[in-house]
Amino acid sequence: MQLARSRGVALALAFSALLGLVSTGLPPIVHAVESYKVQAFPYYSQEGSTITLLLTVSGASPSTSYGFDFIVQDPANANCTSTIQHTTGIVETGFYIIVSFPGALFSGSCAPTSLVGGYRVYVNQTKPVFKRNVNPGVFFLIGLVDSLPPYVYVRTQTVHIQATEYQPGEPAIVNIRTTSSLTLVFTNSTTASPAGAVTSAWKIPRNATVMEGYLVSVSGLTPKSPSDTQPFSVQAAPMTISTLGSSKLVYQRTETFSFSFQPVYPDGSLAETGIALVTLARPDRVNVTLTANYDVTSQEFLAVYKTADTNQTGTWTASVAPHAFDDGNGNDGPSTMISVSPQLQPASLIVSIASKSNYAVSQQIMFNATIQYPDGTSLQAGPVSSFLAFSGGGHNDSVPILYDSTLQLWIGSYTLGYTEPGGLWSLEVSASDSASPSNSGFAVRVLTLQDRPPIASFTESAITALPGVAINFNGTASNDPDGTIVNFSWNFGDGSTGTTLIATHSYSAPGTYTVELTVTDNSGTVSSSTSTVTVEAPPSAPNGNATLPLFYFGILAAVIAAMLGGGFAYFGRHRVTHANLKIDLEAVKTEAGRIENNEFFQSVKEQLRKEKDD
Amino acid sequence: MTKVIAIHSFKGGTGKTTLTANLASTLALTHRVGVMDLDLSGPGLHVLFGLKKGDIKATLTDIFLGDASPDEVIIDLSSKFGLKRGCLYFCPASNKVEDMLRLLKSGLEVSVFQDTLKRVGESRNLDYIIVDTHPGVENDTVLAMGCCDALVLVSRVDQQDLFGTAVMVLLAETFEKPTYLALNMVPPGVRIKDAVKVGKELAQLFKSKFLEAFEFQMDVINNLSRSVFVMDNPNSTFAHKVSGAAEALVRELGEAPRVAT
Repeated sequence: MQLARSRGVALALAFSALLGLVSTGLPPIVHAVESYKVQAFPYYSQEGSTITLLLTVSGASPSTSYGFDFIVQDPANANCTSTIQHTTGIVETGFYIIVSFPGALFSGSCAPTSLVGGYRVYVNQTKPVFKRNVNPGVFFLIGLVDSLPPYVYVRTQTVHIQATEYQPGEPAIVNIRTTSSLTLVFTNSTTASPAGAVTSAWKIPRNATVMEGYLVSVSGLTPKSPSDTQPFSVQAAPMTISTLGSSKLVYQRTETFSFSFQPVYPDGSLAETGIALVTLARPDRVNVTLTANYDVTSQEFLAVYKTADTNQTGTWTASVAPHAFDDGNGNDGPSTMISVSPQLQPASLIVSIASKSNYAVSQQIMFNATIQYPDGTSLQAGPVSSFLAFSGGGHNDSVPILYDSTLQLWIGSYTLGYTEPGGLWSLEVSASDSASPSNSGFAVRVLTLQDRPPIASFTESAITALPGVAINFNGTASNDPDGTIVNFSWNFGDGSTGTTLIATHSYSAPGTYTVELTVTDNSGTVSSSTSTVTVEAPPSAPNGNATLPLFYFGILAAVIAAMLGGGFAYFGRHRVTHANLKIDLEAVKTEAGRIENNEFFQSVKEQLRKEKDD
Repeated sequence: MTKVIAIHSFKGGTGKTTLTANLASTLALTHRVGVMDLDLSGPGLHVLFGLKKGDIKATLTDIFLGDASPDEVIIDLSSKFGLKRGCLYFCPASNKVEDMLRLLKSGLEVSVFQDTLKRVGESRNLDYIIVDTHPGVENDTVLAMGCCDALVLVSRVDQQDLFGTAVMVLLAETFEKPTYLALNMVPPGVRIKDAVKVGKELAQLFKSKFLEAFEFQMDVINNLSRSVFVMDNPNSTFAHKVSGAAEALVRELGEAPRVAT
């Protein structure tokens, strides 16, 4: 604080008008008893400052000439005097007189405000009657430093020093020593300004001693009496910590709470040393004490707490109690407790599934899954479950899954039954642990199951037939490797169709027909199989004509007629129309004879005969 | 003396093996019965009898090749089927391709086959051995035909099938073996009494004997060769018919002494 110099002026102001307004209207009292108040502003200031002296007179007589001597006595007991006149107005009973020191209105041998110590102020009334020292005991103080009495600084503040009345350009030394050990903590060789002022500044270090006082001295070539010396003291810096921060407001279990704060010195600089104790209160009010240290990277003080997978969930409160931080030099803070309250929630387990994305229906599905806490550790004990669900709904299979401690993976395998449909399936893995409430998570992977086509296969009761003769087509041998056949569709090659497992058809005209069976499986995939049927022209007459190789059995013809007694017989969806059997007896005999002549047949016959004879 | 009944069909898919299993199981309710799977190139009886891979230690093929004794091959199914009076034994065929090839290459001698039948029959004191052959006319079919006491021919009401059946009847005649005609899988829509009539007429025509006509039954088909139908459905029409056929065969072959109750 550098005090402004100003030229000395005296100012007398009437305030009787105001008093007049509130007066009773009675005539003024002549030679009333005056009262006086003398004040010096400011009470303390550095050398070279201008002091304002104020005389307040009340109870004065109107229309009276007043005279005052303002006498300032410096610390070396030399005086300066300023004489001020004031004549009261006709109704004026009170007034001010303001005089600046030092100033042109003063004369005498006193020093201006250039000596350390107390300056006494005396005011004598010289008119209308002499009154000595109308307000005793007024003084002001002049010093070197810019702190008011009792001259106390805190660390990191700067002590500004000013001394005056040196010769312009005069060399001067400013020293600061401790008062007991006389340790020199600051020295500055300088020169006086053109106005004769010596100024300097000492920034008090963070670790400046507070165990003893300090004495600042300014000495130049010009001797001063008293000399320019002044004591002051230094105290520990109060550290300001405005807030306690948390890296997150909501944490998951296994994540690490991170609390941060920045202690600030009085000069605005940030602390980089020291330690603080942070109290972390769990939801159940049990406390954990953490240590906060300076983190070079973030340039903050950090306190961390790694949460466990079983920690209580809810509101946790971290707080720094008053004076819980110390920078290592005794500067501490905060002044009041600061705190922050993050939430701890159950951990979301991170589940990732690895598997092929394409499988054939009824192929074994194998997959592995990693299940991790937010901190990257693996879940090793469940419950962990997985299931396969068909995108079209209606199928939901539970899939066994186990932890392989060697691979550190959860391994699952499953084979969907062959009746399960092809298409998109979702494989979901859900995990949780035994914590309360439990930590949990899940993942879904979409798999494509490719349908394997059905196999169309059929047999026919005959590959040659006469017109109108029924042929049975049997599709029983058809199958679907991964499901069931849901539809049979026959195309008999003559424009007729059928939809039964076993179909019967007769052709009306001779020719070669391609019969096609198309089967559809439960996934909608189709396959076909074909076969050829030859319909022969009917014989012209059943009379044993040499050109006709077939022999018709009369008995059989009758039997078949009996079978068909009802014309058409219906059984379920099967319709039997015609059935004619014709067996060529000659062909039977020929075939039997051929086999009989076979070597093996003859040898068996021979052996049996021998055995019988034996 | 063990009677040997061979079951045969000219074509595949006639339901022969299914009928064999059901007929044998029915006979075994009151008799000591052995079943031999001689369908060496496509055995299927073990499936019907509900046997698993591990149940079969040795096979009929091993007996033929001299690698095993009947005791090592025969599987007792009596308790499995809950038989209290009769017994059911089974000689499985090998379903290993290498075994089949070995046997088919080396060929079967009449004496070996007859000896096997005799040893199996005696080892369990059997009343009947039922031999399930494979379709068509092959060497082992001829052997079974020559060594059996009766030949049951299974046919569908189908032109080709009946043609082949007629051939089989003629061949059996040369061995002087009686044949029995069973019409199987009679299509829906054909009245069963008509089918029986057709069967009897055919038997007469082929100089054979008519045994029974079995309808095409979805129940039996739906059983999908997973088990022996008559054992699960003793009161079904099919079971009654099989029972009738079994009794007819017993009568024809001369009543074997029934197991004492």
